[in-house]
Amino acid sequence: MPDQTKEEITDWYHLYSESIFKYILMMIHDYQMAEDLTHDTFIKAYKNHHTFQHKAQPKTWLFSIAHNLTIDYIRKQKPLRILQEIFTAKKTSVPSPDDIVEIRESSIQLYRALSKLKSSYREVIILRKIKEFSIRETSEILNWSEGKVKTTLYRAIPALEKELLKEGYPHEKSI
Amino acid sequence: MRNQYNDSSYFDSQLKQLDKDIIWKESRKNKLEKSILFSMNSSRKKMRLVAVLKFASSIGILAIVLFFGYTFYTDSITYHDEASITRSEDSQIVDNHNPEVKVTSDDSVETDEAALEIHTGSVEAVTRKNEGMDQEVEVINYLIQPYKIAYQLDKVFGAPEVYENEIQYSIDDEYTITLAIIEDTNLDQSISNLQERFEAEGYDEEFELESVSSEENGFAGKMQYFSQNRVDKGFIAYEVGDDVLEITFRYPVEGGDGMYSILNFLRESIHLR
Repeated sequence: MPDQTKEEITDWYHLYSESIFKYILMMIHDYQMAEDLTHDTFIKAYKNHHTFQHKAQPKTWLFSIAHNLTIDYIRKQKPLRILQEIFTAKKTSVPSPDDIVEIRESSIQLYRALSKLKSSYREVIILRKIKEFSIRETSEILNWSEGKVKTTLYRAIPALEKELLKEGYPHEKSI
Repeated sequence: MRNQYNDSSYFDSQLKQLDKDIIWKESRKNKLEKSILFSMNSSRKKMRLVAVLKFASSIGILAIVLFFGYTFYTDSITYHDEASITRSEDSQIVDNHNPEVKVTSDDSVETDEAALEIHTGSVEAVTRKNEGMDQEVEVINYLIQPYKIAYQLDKVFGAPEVYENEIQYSIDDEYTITLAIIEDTNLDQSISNLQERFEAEGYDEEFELESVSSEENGFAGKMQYFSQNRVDKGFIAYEVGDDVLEITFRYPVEGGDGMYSILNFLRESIHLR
């Protein structure tokens, strides 16, 4: 594989790694694993660079890789999480190891509320509302139809509102 | 008037703020970059090594194949002749006026007494719409016995294979259609089992469960699409008397357009003979 690929991946890392790391973190709420999956995203992009058609934006392509890795991880974690929930009391605090990441107090309630949504709702909110991808780009990343993106987002916002109410988040009403 | 899609919400600004409020330490980011560079270098070395090994092993395999090919050349011809004779004896002509080939699950499983049989009938040329264009295709008439369920499927899927209560069609194992008869069950139970199975295989619901219009073929049915890593999978289930006819299918997402018309045609062709 030519050095050009390595250089391109390195450039992409400088441009998009932070955004990808935060996306994965908001999806899985595990700092260490978010770093590992960010690592895997760029390595997978390196290995599959020959398949990247420059019709799409590199950012969209990288996010679709990150999405696939994250969803695979969530799927594998599901049975483990159920066992954890049975045998241990669920932690409600959000640990934030200072050496990896910091989350400002003002956004912690929102971060927690997001974590309680089902993954498809969480994902579509992150991509559309936080990462500001267009409907089309979101549908490419998630490999969904545009209709499904719109429908899911339409259902996800009230679900987030409900979770925020439970958290005691101060707001008036959603539009 | 065109509808403008607007998905703005009260939380938009707070959600954007959340992104800014998550701060990933620069030292960690730099450390991860180094780790990625290291992994890219090792992966490069690994890829070279794998290429060399692949080349060496393919030469080795070629030598082995040539050796065995030469040694057993005569034996293989003899075996092939015997196999042809056995197969022709096993083939049964069901109806002399309308010759049909009968494949039963007894070919592979001998224990099932009321084995499902698939009778392959005549080939028909039909014209149907695909992506808005008229397309002429050849379809084969099939009959599932003893259930008397008849249907038509594109010839391109080739000869079916029968395993117990399933009739399987496949093109290169990428495009598959399977018809199964589940006895003494109802539609809800059958659908619940299919959904569980697909989810266990790691597929996500692409669309919610929907009813299939009985105007298509006279049967009450339901269908649902799932997907995973650019592969679409789904099922259509029909209540046929006390049994359920389950049609499951799988194809790469790129082949969706062709498969929609094949599956629609299959659905419409189902009838009791």
